[in-house]
Amino acid sequence: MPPLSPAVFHVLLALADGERHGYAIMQDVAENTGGRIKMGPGTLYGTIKRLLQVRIIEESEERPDPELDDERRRYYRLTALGQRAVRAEALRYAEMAEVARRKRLIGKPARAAHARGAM
Amino acid sequence: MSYGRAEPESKAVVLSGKLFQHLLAAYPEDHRREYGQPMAQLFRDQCRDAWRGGRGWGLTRLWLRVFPDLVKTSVLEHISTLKESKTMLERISNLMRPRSAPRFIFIAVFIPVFLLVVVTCTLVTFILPESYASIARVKVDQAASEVTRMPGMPAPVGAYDPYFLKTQFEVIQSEAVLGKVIAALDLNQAWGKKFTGRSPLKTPEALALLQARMDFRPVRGTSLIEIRVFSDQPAEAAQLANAIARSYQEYRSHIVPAEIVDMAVPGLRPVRPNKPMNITLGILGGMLLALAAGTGVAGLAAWMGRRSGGTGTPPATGAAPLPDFPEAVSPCSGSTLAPRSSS
Repeated sequence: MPPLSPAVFHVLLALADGERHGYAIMQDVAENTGGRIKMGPGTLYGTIKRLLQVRIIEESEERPDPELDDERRRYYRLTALGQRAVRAEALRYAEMAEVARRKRLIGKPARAAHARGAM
Repeated sequence: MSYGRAEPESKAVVLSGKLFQHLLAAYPEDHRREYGQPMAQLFRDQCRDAWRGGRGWGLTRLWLRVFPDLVKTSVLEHISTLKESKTMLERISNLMRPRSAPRFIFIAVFIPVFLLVVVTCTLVTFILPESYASIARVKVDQAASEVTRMPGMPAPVGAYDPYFLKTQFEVIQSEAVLGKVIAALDLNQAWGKKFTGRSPLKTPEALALLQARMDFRPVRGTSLIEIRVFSDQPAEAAQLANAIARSYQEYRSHIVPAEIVDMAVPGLRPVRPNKPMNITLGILGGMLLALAAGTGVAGLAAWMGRRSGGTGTPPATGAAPLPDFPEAVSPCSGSTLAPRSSS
């Protein structure tokens, strides 16, 4: 089983905080990646379609107050399986980072972040 | 979170949204029916952000990012749709109409590529600075001393002598003639202010600029020379053409006097860019390019569809391979991602 593609993982991470619509997911991904990943509508909804098919995410039945947001927006949230999946994938990344740290390829998280900031 | 509904939308944003909605035709019908509306809405939101961030340039950058994404994901969705045919009957029916999907992909690629080329060509044509032309005509008679003599041949006095005309073209472009034009019209000062905004130009610089704006043509079957000058100002073009004709006339005055038969007048319409021609070329070029792109992509899609048609592998997607989590195993810990309740 291949690991998740970065695009899928980022979409799942965006939904980890709660339900979101497509535009909010796209903004969250862009923010989390410092603007490196900017998903187009085709890629985002292709990803959402396939995540819905395998029941990693589901469409939320609730619609927000039309005064606050456009009621035509569709909201998506992680299913229980999706929550386990994103947690497991995050763990996989963490374990790989730990291996890299043991091999002194990277420093501790704080130092790594500091080093990134200095670059 | 703001969705920009409060402020009025610019025309560019509205047009972009409409164009994107039309381009959604590139996706399979099922996908379009299910996700067309949210995709169009997401794109409109992105347009508003791009417009707020960088106006026209922001929108251009967004299109440059979204258009390849649209082409790629629409092709992948078509392939995915082909592969999703579950029953044998559907597979056979797909095989029986092998040209329908490639034809659709062809149209889906052809239309956006064609529109992109034509729209770009039209935009560039209208963005390019306009240039006016003015023509002065000078009658130049050849002196006996200027006749080109070929060894063993009689001198062709009064006949068409291409060497003479070429020599005159070079003379008109020389500093001896144009230097006086530059001095008379004070082009060093005027063009210095116009092109650099401050210091006056040096004479060789003004000379090079003037030479780049000139064009000569002999009037067939006559001893007339057309001096054509281009400028972004119609009056300046006429003034320059007349000044050059006068300076050349003065230069010739001690050989055989030249006669200015037509003074230049300011042009009414710009001659460059040639808008109808550019747009026609854009349409023809767009058709050729779109034909090549459509044929290539449709052929590739058909080949990929045939190649992986019987493997039963999950469909390739734009960004999301099918995440089969229940069997996922962490490479480091060996922990399975299967739901605990089911194990």
